[in-house]
Amino acid sequence: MEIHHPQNVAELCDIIAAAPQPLSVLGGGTRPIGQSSARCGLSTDLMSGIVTYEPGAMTLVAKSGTSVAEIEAALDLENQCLAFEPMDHRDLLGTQGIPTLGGIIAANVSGPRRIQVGAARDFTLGVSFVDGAGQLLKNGGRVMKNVTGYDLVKLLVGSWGTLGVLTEVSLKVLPKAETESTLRIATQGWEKAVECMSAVLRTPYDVSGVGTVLNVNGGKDVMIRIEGFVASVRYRVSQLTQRLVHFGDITEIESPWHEMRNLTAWKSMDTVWRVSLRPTNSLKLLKVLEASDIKLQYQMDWGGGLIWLGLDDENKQRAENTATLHAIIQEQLTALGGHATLMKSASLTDMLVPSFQPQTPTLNKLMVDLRHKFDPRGILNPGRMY
Amino acid sequence: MENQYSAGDLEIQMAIKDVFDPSWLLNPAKVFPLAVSQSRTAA
Repeated sequence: MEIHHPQNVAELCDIIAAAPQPLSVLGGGTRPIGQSSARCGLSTDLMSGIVTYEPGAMTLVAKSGTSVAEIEAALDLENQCLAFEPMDHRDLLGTQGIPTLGGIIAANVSGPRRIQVGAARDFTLGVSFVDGAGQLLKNGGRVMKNVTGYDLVKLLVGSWGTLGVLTEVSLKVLPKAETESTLRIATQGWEKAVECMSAVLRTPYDVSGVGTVLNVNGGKDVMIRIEGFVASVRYRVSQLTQRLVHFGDITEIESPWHEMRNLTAWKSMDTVWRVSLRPTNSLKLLKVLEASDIKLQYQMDWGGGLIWLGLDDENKQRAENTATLHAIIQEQLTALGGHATLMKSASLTDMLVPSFQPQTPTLNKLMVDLRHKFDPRGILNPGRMY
Repeated sequence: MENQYSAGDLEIQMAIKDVFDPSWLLNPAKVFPLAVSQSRTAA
């Protein structure tokens, strides 16, 4: 596939304005989720660099092709971080490439701490982007209170390059926590695990992660992360331990959050879905899936609001069966109110299934009309999302 | 607003209103400068 690598915004505008055919919009190409029908690529990887970073104001502005690693290194020097801790998809998806800022913003990639501080979307203060006509537009600014006009920032974050190609992003950053502690609670079964996660979130102890990890004791033990100043963490750990003791044995363990965020143990899965739903509905979904003959692996995050479903190599199915399972999962999510995204599938490679959760006709019409306004010729990532 | 946003920036914001409210029935005089939205509200 031919891939354009514009060096600057002017080149990017020219390429889009002159594009005779659809473009597959990329950053580092590490998250090939959904299927773009475009046969020509457009990568922002050469448009890179931090434009301004003001640690005192906790804001950072960078070009979209800047690598996440470069940004994290710069923040590290000032003891700050991207609080939404974006997932690195390379382990899970087996991709090469370098993850870029544009990629995490376009896909709204957010990690376990989302439950405490919010998503990538909530940390994006402003964006510049080029629309489908090759016109450079901007919205938002470098401060939280920028209130005039419509907030296109929220719309662009998570639009997967279908509304415009990001050129520059301003972000709010936060100080790193002084210390971190993880409690593991050996709950018995999924019902208790979900109940325990909800109980944790009802406490006033401001936890920064609640989930489960595959490969640890059947994957049903609940992990809780507590971050902050040493004295505060000690206090909250002791309070949580007292309150949760009836759910099972509690031990303090080494941080599993890197593995939980990047799904490093999921490399060999044949098929993986990412399911987002109301935490209390997670059991209903599990009940339906357990009733089928196909054995799935589970990992929960966000207190049960995010479930990773995996079909491992041992249990992998013929393509038709995987496709049927995919349809069942998405139907369940429509009924329960949530969405399921197909992240990868080796057995489904040649079959065309909707990777993203199908929308209601009303929402779909709004989406199609909006896309037409931003990209009248339909050349930006057609087929990627819908 | 016309100082903060370019004509293109305002146009794409108004295009969003076009999608949700094609006839500009809902609070047509708010958010956008009247001179800029005139052609849409006149009809």
